[in-house]
Amino acid sequence: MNLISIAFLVFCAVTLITYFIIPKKFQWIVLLLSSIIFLFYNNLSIFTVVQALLVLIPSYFLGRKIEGNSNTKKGKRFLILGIIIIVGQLICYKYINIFIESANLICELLHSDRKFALIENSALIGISYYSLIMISYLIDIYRGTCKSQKNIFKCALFMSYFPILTSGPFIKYKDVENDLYGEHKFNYDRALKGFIRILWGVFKILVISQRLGMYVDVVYSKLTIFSGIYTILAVLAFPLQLYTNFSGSIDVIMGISEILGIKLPENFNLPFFSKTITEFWRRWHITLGVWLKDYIFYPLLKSDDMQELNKKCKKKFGKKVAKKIPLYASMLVMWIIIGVWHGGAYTYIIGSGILQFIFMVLEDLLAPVATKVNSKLGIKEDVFSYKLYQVIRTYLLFAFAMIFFRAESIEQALFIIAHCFVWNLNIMLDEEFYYVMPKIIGLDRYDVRVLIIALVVLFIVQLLARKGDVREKFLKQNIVFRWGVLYALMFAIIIFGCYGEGYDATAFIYREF
Amino acid sequence: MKTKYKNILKVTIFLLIFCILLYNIFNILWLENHNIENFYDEPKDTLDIIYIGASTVHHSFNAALAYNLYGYTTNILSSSTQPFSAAKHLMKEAEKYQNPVLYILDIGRVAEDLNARRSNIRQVTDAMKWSDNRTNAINEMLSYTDVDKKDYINYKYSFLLYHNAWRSLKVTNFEKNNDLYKGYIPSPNVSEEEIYCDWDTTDTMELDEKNEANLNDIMEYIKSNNINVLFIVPIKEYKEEIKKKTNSAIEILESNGFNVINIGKIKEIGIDGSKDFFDKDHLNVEGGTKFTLYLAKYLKEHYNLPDHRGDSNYSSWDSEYIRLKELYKEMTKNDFDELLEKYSKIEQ
Repeated sequence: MNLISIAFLVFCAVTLITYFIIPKKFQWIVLLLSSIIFLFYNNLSIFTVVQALLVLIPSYFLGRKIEGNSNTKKGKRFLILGIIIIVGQLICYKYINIFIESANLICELLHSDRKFALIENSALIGISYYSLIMISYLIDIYRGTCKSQKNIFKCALFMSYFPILTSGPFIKYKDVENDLYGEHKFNYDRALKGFIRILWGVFKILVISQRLGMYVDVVYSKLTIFSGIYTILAVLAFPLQLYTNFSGSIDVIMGISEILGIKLPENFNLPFFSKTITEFWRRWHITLGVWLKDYIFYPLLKSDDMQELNKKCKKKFGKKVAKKIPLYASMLVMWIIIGVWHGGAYTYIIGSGILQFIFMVLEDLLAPVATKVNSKLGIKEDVFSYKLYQVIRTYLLFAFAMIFFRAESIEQALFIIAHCFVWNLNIMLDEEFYYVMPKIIGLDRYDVRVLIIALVVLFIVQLLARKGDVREKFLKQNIVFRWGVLYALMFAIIIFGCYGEGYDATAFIYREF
Repeated sequence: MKTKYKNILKVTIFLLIFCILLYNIFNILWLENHNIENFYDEPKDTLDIIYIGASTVHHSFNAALAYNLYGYTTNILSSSTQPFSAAKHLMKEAEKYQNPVLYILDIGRVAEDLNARRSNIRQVTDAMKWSDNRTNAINEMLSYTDVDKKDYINYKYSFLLYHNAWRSLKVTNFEKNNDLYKGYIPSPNVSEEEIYCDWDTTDTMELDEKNEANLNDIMEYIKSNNINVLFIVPIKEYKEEIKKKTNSAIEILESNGFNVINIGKIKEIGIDGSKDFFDKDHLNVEGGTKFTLYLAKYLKEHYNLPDHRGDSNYSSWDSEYIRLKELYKEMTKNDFDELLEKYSKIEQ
């Protein structure tokens, strides 16, 4: 069941109606049943439920055990056991193919004919999300920042709350506990705001992302045909495709939760306005970043091993350098984990992991140098043009890293990079280019116009969002304007959306992770 | 409480306006108009004959002329390359709105592959009103094709395709299509090549399993509903294999007591392969007029058909006939009555 599908629409409508008409004390049960149905329907396998139970049952019982032993050795043992069980399963289901691929690679290097077959669909929808959610649940109980859930069914709801199973965001137990199990009256204003957010998300996915995806897919699937400006445009378009797809899915998820009365943490905060890659990752997939910082980066940085490393480095390189080495080492581990979480293929590890780490380290190291050079050359850093340059630079760096993320192999990524440097910009001056290109890329001139207008709308909304909640401002307008904009948005989706025959609206990029 | 009702009212008005806008937008985006859609515009129980089939029907039978000559009404329920698997569902659809004396089924495609082009299936199912019959028609017609079952939804909800028609929107999309002429589409052109249209084989060849099952299904439906049906093999250029298979179909139909007319065998109509076709499948206006004169008279003589001429409720049939004559004049610079007189004399 995809987020943008008639089945999901009906599913949500039934869930919402049932949720608000039954006695409020049973509302959480409706959510639990919907989540189980969602999990099962998505994978059409009882194995999904079994897989979820294998995470739920140990997490629940170990959570109960840890609660009385917060910050103790005994508690730590239970915690480690819980993490091993959850991570072990995640590795088994999701990353088994990486091990198989690696084994095959070793066999190849050793000139052995032995080849292990890859396992298809071992990891089912939701496992990446609920595994990390349950790890955070156990750690938070151990740290004493939250209490364990006594009711295993309520615990199951926390783990499998259906809107977040496909694309996140990551939730923490203490943040959602009250909303998830609480009683909610239907609230018209809240529902209206949720509805607007869903519409905006669908618009981003169907009108922008799918359209950009058509072009990107063509270029990435026919690499030998395209080069130069075609490849550059695909490389530049992919981050936007990814953003509108992923943030659009999050908007739909947040909108549904808002109608239900369940507040979820934001996952995006205008990432393409970031002036550095470090800032970018504070604004992009925020909840994953927070999760990794809270449960990997800081514990690692504060660990005895890192403190030991710090001491050793202090003696050898001095205080200033010694401070940086454990920091960068912890960052490297975290970024590799981000790459692994995204799917584990080397392309992900490089694209969404190591390259991001390198950019951040370079930013950190070069920032003082750049400031010095700028001041010597008289370049002002607090002016619009300089900030624009920084924003563009950040986008380009991210787009570059995403070549690896999008490519099917490292060789393919390198091939794409090489083909970006083929000079054929002059074809843009040829009038024929504008007639031939639509036929090759599958986007005609009408699509391009729709895309440009939609991107302008997106940009304006994002600019407005920098100054506050756009929906709040929108709802304060007169009814004619409000309804006019809503109808425009709805019909833009219905008419200009890429769905139905000839389109694959089901391709959600982040669903795979 | 007051706010609650105010909000309910607001949502209701909002949705109402949305539905009205949606309905109108889809009417504009609906790119094609078919005879099947026009069928719904005919007043209830005013049609005496329903003529179902592929484009051979709307290029050959001039229903307005038949009305003008004998006073009975015929609806052309045809579409381009209509698969024969559509016939049963179109009969069912017609039954809902009309009570015709006779159904005519064009069986020019009875032996053709049922794995029809998607657009040909859509021309039937997109034009049908929403009902169980439409859903069944989609399911059955697609079952003969290699369309994945999960894609059937695109046929059930036509807007999944038509929403995309904005890119080829023309001024004509905003106008009501008046080029109806009671379903008849005349062409003044003459095929450059002579069309070999004689039915000179009596050989038979077994029908494909699916085609035979489909034919049996239609016969069963006709029998169980006690419907009066005439089967017509249209005149066109056939492949030898199709001719032989069609002969088998004719044998099956006749052995089940159905009346079949094979137009290619009837020399008295006077269809001339060198001047009466505009392509190898379709009669031009001259061939169509010859065919209509023959079939209209045959129907009048063999079936108990009423004469509605002079009845003001049927005035659209008179006006469409006049429009058709004007169209003929516009296309050929000749007078349609002269053409009619010429072929009427030949017939006499």
